[in-house]
Amino acid sequence: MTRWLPRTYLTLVYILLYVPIVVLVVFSFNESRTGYAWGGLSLRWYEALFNNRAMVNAMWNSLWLALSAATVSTVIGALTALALHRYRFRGKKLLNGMLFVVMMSPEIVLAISLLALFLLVGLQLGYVSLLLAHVTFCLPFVVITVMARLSGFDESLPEAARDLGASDFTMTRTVLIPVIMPALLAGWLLGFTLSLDDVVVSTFVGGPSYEILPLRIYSMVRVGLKPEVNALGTLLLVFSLVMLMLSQWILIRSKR
Amino acid sequence: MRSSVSRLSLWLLLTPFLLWIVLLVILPHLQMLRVSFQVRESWDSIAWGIEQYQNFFTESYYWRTFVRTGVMSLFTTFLTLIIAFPIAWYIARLARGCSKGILFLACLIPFWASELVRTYGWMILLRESGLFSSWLKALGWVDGPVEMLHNDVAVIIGLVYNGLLFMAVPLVTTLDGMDENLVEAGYDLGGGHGTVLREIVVPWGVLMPCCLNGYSFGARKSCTCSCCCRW
Repeated sequence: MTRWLPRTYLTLVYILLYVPIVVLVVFSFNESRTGYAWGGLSLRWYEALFNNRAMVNAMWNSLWLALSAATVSTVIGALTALALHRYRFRGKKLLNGMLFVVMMSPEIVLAISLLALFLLVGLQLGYVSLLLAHVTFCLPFVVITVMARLSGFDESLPEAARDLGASDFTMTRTVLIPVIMPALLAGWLLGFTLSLDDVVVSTFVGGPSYEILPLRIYSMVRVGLKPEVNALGTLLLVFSLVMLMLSQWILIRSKR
Repeated sequence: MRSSVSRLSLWLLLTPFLLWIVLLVILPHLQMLRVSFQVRESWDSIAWGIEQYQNFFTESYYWRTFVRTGVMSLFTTFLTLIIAFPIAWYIARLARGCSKGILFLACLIPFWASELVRTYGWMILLRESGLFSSWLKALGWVDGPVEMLHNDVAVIIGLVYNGLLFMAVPLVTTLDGMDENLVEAGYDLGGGHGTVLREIVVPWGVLMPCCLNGYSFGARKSCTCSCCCRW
């Protein structure tokens, strides 16, 4: 009894974990339109997906947005992490605390406050507003990833570089940057996936001039059964799995 | 000289971040606060007042939704803890060697998929023309199609499912770091399973700061997820 009970429970929970994803992937290859009957193997929904102009357009918009949001937040995040790591100054604890507050605060509060600001300054809702919002929720994650890497960093390395006559700039370029590179890449990938995933903030600060994928999916599945969404979901799943495996691989390799 | 150079470089490094925090975090929140105290009198004049807050508390629809969200959040977080704890316990304390790593990884993989995709998977299962509905019909338990989406249970399923990772991972890490001797000592001093769980494991494994982290993450996520689930 004590042996099979935990195993049964474990199996049950793991099945529940995987059922929605497996179903999604399997039904993306389903010839039939219904959500319950199997009509044979086919790629027609993938074809339908790529023939849908608005969808492909939204896909490119989303990729471009995620790319730029991840890059901007990685650059700012890296500078910030370096400053927070290397210098002592008043208000450092406060800045650290604010990072966590932003990370933990509900997305919807962030979204409403940003919308209030954009309306106040009269910024047209579109690419720029989305970019600013996405950078806002990605940045804390990047800073924390890079800071975690820096905290395990051997302080004698920059000292040694200075003793050997390197200037601050040379030291940063030849010692510091290579050390934090894996964390930068991991942070970038994290930001990229966060941005690609976001629905809540984008709903508020997005505009009709710049349609992005999560909002498109959201509005499609609201109306009814759309097998193209299965195909798209499968593609997104494969894509984020590849991205995140890549980041894990980079982190693990750099730890050696 | 040296100190002024380092001061300058500190400012250079920190400027983008300060701009970000002032312009995109503090300012929007202040603006939100300001708007919340504004009352529109006519189309071109705005007065100050607490009417918005009065509306919030007098209009039962608003504060009921608010309370409902809070209750739902607490309930699903608790439920997630109940479901995740045995798994975390098994992975951290009972599983050995290779199976430990595999179980932990298997627990993580579904969460590498986007939240939207995961929730959509549940929609395929639960909707009126979905799999569960047709299975129930095939088994002869129900006559017609059953709609299992757009109700509280569906919301709870979605929230618990999406919150599982944020609960399971911190739990596994803290339980893994727990001192074996503590548990042994508990049993040696005559404690039963229940006592050991209550007196040693729960204070250690559930009240550790790391798990509080998981807790608040769960609460934060659930506030946002409810928007997703109630499509």
